[in-house]
Amino acid sequence: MFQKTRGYKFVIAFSSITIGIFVIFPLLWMFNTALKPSTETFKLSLFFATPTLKNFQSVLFDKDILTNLGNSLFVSFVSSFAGTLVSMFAGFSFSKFRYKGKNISMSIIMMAQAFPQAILLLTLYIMMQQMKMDGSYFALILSYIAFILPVGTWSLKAYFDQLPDALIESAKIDGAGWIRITFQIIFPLAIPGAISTAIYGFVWSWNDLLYSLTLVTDASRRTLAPGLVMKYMGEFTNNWSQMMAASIFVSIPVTLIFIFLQKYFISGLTSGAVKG
Amino acid sequence: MKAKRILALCMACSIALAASGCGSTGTASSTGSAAAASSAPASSKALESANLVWAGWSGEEKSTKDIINEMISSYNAKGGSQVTWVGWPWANTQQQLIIRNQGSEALDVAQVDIGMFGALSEMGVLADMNDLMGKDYLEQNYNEAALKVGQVDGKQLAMPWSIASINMVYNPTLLKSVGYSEPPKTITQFEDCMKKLKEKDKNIIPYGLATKDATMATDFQPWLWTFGGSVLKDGQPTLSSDAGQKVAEWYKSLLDKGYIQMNITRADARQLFAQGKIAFYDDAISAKGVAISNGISKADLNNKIKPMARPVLKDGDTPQSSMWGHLLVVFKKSQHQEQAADFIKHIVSQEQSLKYFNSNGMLPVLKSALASDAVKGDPWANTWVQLTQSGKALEFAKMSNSGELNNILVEELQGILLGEKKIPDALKSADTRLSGSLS
Amino acid sequence: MTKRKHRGIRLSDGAVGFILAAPALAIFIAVILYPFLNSIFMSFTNKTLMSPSFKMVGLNNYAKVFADPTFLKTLGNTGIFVFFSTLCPFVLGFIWAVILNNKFRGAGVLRGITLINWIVPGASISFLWSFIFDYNHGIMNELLRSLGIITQNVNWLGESSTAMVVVIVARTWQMLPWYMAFLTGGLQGVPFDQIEAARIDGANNLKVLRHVVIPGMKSMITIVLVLGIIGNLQHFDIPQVMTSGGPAGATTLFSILVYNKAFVGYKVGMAATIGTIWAVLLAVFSFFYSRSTSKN
Repeated sequence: MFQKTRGYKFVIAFSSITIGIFVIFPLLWMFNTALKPSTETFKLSLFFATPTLKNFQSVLFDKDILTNLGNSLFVSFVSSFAGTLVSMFAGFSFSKFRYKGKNISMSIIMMAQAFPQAILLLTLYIMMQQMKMDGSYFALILSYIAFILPVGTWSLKAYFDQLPDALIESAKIDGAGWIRITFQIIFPLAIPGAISTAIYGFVWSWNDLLYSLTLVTDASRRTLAPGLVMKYMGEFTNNWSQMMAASIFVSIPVTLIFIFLQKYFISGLTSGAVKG
Repeated sequence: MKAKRILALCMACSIALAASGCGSTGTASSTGSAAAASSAPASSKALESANLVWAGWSGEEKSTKDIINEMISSYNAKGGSQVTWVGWPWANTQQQLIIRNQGSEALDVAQVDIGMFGALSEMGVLADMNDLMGKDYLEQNYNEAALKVGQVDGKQLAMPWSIASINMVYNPTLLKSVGYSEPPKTITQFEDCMKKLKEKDKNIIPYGLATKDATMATDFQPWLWTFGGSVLKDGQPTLSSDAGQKVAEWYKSLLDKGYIQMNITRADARQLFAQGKIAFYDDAISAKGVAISNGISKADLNNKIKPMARPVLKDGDTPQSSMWGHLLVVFKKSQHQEQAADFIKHIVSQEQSLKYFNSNGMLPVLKSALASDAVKGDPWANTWVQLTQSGKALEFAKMSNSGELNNILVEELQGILLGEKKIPDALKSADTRLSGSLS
Repeated sequence: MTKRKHRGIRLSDGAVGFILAAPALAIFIAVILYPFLNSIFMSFTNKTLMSPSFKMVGLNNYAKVFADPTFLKTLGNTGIFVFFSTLCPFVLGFIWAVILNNKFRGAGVLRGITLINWIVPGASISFLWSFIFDYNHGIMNELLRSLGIITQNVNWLGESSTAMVVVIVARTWQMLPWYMAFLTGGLQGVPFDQIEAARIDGANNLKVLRHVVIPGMKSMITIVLVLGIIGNLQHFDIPQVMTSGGPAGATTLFSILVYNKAFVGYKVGMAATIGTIWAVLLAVFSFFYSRSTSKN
């Protein structure tokens, strides 16, 4: 994209180092904390003084954490996938179609992000209870999808905006129906954007504490964020070294998924946006 | 175009408002039926078996999980009612209990701490233990001071589970190193001791006073009482009194001299205390167990942590401390209140409460358990029992928005300590804001 | 061939568009709209969680909020927090995206590692940064002292002037991957032929960046910034865990104020009032924003 001039190289080298340190060092520090016994947590020392794998072991063999991890993966996958799909439909619609009520629909969807979610929960909880939907994942996933929508719809609309209208026109001339145009022509081109949205949705659901705490009661259905807080941040003691070990441990599968997804991320564009 | 948009929004509003009307009539009828069911007469002796839900936080935390599970399984093994546990993090428990009382979710018994009790009692969702267990039975069997903590307007809205006041603890080894073989008794001695500690090692924080979170407000009140003041008088805030002014000046002087530090939470104080970097701090009876989990060895315990009476202004004054503890409540909406009360009796029974005492140091409330050798023979517990006798309820304890009031107090106190506000201005502002939030 | 499948009513383009948007609208109406309107309604009542009954109080709550001396301070804090917590990770995330877009070995793995920041639970991030900036045993003080930049430890989270900085740093660290992910998507959508064309015209890197790359990503950048701002307005975890809004209210944000009213004071009416004021401010902001962009 850029020519490798001397100035460019300098700027890149400088920023690589500073941003690299900023991004990586705290992660290492977290690792350092996780490798120390909990009584050493608050001492400014490196782990190799008294390294221990005990924290990781106790996380690894903790059935609750594994259950929470499984639940979180499930809930986050489902909400992220459904949220992204619905956002793709809506984003496509808002980008390439003209109809009455489009503008107001767009601003209405944005409203979901404009109001403090903590307050919405109070009404939502009562609503879900009256409909007997509390306790299952249904209420939780539905609200996650709703909170993914604004970001997803608007960023995917931006993505679809980059695609030339001529693509659709020519497909129509070729006799393609809307279903074919949507799924076979337009959506494949939006895969990079869709993956960004999906990642966003995944992490949103992954990190949420308050909704999960309130809408799910059963311990066997509990997700990670409340699970970890409950386990390690107690009334009298906070076990930070185990909390760190658990945070690292549960990040591993998600990171691997993200790294794996990147391939699609990149192949999505080489076959799509660039040629388009 | 714009007008159209506004019109559409208004229409949406009105539709939703109409829908909300329907929604609220729906709740009214459902709560009505629940009330009818719970007022059904309960038999006196042989209780029908029921499924009970017990909510709280101790069943989630690593240090207490096992013993809570044992309390439940030993009760379930009797073959009567079956109890299941529902938990949240400690910090979210009050909020979750209150939200869940808006709906019709099943809840029978809950564990609350003294700070959570006020809001729940004001909500009017708690059943009266006097009705469920009998006033005489309670008075005959349980410690009077403990029972008082759960009383509101003559009703016993909570059963005490473990009650002891928050007191100061100190590090005997550190104190000895500056010539104090006994902890200081007056504020003058206390300041002298802190001065010597600071001179000996400037990295020591002599007093781990909480200067952050709600704990700052709860640590502040006993000192205010020590100086002869109170936050409220006849329901009106009186921080800008002489005593308020004096204690604020004293706080500021402690910070200026480096005896206390900003950004210290209770958790920080416990950690630094265990490392020997703090000489005094305020804590509950469970401080001993915390010290062990923070790295003080059991053998070394007597040299590293001991409870003490809070220093007084002048000799002969009563040392001040604030009440603290865990309570058990039964919800009015529970359809099995009698069974719930029976389960509570099991938790606070001699057998269970002594097991709890042995594993976590939480003081029993049953008179016979308090008089048992296990408690009497434990000097740590004994000191705590004595100090608790003069313990007072925190002034916001029975108010529903105690958390909000604590926040105001903390914000203004921090403003004073950081020198952002003049003391009289900050105290006056605290009074105004408190009275605004009291209404 | 396709005609046979389309027997019956042939949908107009507009109708197809509406059908595509329908699921999103349906979910929105089901989950958000009623709670949203109900909350606005609550802002005119004295509703608390203590009792099911409530009274209409007109604009009383609004008067109370505006009369509160800490309201303006909170507004200012929120402005500072939102501005810097959006700008800093945006700039750093953009540069990081450009760097990792050079297809060197390990770029993909590095991008994956970067994403960890964002997956780590908020409570852990708060602890991590509190610990790094700790007064007594933090590595930041140690580092700055050994470099001779400071002579005495700084109580970062204990001073009003520095607490906000630490909170913003932690939030920047958490959100950098998000901006990176979105902007990577945007970067890879910039048409290569245009860059090459500009190059042939003799444009240097800066010109390519200014005249081709940024305009090519314009809609993505706008979206990312708008969403970043809104996300930061909602953000609650990090300042709550690190400072609980202190010291002396120096890091109290709108989100913390709302949470405290609703879940600490249980005054739903007041919380809804602050929420409504916030939504109105956002609406005004986005109105002027959309007017200024539609003029261009």
